[in-house]
Amino acid sequence: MVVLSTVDAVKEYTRGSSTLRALKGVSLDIEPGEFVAIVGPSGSGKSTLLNLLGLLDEPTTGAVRVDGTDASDLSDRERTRTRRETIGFVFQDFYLLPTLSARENVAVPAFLHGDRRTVLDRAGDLLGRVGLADRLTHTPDELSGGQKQRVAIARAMINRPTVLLADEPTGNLDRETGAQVLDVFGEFTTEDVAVVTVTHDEQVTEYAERTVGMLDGVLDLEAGD
Amino acid sequence: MDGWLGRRFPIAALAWQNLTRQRARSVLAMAGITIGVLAIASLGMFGATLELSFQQSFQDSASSVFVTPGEDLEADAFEPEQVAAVERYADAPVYPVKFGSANVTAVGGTDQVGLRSLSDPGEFTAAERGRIPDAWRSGVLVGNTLADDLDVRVGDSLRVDGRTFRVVAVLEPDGQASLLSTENAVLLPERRMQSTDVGQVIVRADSPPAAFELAERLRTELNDRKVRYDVQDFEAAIQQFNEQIGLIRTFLIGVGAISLLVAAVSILNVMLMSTIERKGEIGVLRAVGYYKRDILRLMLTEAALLGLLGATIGLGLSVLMGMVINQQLLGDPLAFTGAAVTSTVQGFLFGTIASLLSGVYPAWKAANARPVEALRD
Repeated sequence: MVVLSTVDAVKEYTRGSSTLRALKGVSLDIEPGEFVAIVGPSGSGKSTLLNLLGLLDEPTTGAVRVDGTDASDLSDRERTRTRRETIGFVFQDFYLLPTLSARENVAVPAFLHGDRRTVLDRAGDLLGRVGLADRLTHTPDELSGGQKQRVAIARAMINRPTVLLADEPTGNLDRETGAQVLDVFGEFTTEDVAVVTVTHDEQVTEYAERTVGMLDGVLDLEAGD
Repeated sequence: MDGWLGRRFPIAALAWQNLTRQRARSVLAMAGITIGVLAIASLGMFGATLELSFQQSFQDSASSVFVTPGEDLEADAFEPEQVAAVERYADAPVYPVKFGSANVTAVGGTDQVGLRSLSDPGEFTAAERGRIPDAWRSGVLVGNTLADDLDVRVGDSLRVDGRTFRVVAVLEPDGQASLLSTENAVLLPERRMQSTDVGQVIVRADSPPAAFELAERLRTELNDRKVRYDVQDFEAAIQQFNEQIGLIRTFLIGVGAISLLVAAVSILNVMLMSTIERKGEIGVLRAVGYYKRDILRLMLTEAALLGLLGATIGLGLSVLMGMVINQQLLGDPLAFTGAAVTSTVQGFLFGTIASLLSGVYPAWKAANARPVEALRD
């Protein structure tokens, strides 16, 4: 079973008369509960691939499939809804809202479209699961980097996604807090949530079940395992 | 966000949170709207109240018609039958005013002053001290300046060409629109007046328009080719006054509108800055499943909240300001005119709508930013 996949995805960026081929035909399947690390040098196309997987961008040719549905068949609004329902995002810079408490930040994705009566309770439960049960009412500036990233992971989980996409999730963290964050990801994979992360961090690749290498817009089979 | 309000109006709760992030900036943007609303409302109110105050003080004059001897009349006073002619054509109370002059002596000295006599002086002037008798048969009324000059008070006696009278009232100073000049005159009861020269006839109509109509009728009925009666009304003066006050009001509201425009631009600026600063954050909201329309609503709500708060404070201040203006010009803090209320409401609406409109472009820009680009840097 495949939850998320790209099929021969090509992405070209046109700037003026020059065309940059960031992806030159990438096919990748993500299965439930697996932890995939995408590695590669800057400019190899790994962030572009993550954006395609997250339905934030569309391939020039080829397809992105979510639970078997071709995302290019969806309207902008449907894509947004699919993102909300099946994909969770974790960013290197956390992007928490500074005036909201940890619990409110976790609730944000479900705040407009969802059951608002229970969302704060669920947010509290999720914060407990990432080890922040005693930080519910703290604002982001009262939290450490590792704590912020755990809040961000809890936020990504609030809509019960099947895939978590993480862009350099340990990029701003030291080794020890990075390890804690990876353990949190690991715990969610046991519930069949797939984790796909773009990283430079060897700690992540060591932790991951599968490492996919990217080089110059194509999958680099030698770098992978 | 935690409370009932947040569950009920999540967008408004989020918008409010966002406004509190740059508190100083939000307050300043709001202050711009407050000042704009205050300017429109209070300037409009000032114009309207000014107009009312003028109308009130001119109401009596403007409702009256003055008939004086015309250039073709050989005398400078009317004969009784000529006064009767005026009475015949006027369907309103007619007050013939007799004029004379006399040597007047009191404690403070002797002076040659004007005498006036008419049946009901209370219609045209009022006592500052003492009282104008209802059935006036004896005693005199003394003009304000003359009373000072001659040092007379109510109850004193006064000699007019050798005859002695008791002063029953000292009159108020002449107003801007007094029909009868009394400052330097002594008013005598009709039967004590020796002069029989009716120098002026005042006809008191119900309203300014009735007076204008009456004046027109008197002019055509009383005069043929010869102008024996000079009939005057205030139609031209009132018209000119209305034009001027209209101009003043338009100017004042224009000044207010410009200040509101400036305020709207500052809201536009604040919202644009906020859009740029929060680009990444808005990208995250889009990524986690907020529709474009949600972002649009969020940003518009922020702009509208700024405007609504600013305009509400402006409204409160305008009402206070209006009460001060009313007290000064009309003597009653609650005497709001319809036009004053209209301009206050206009100010409030302009302020709110201007803020909402200045939120449109930044909101559109934020909603349509591609999340992938917003998150790239």
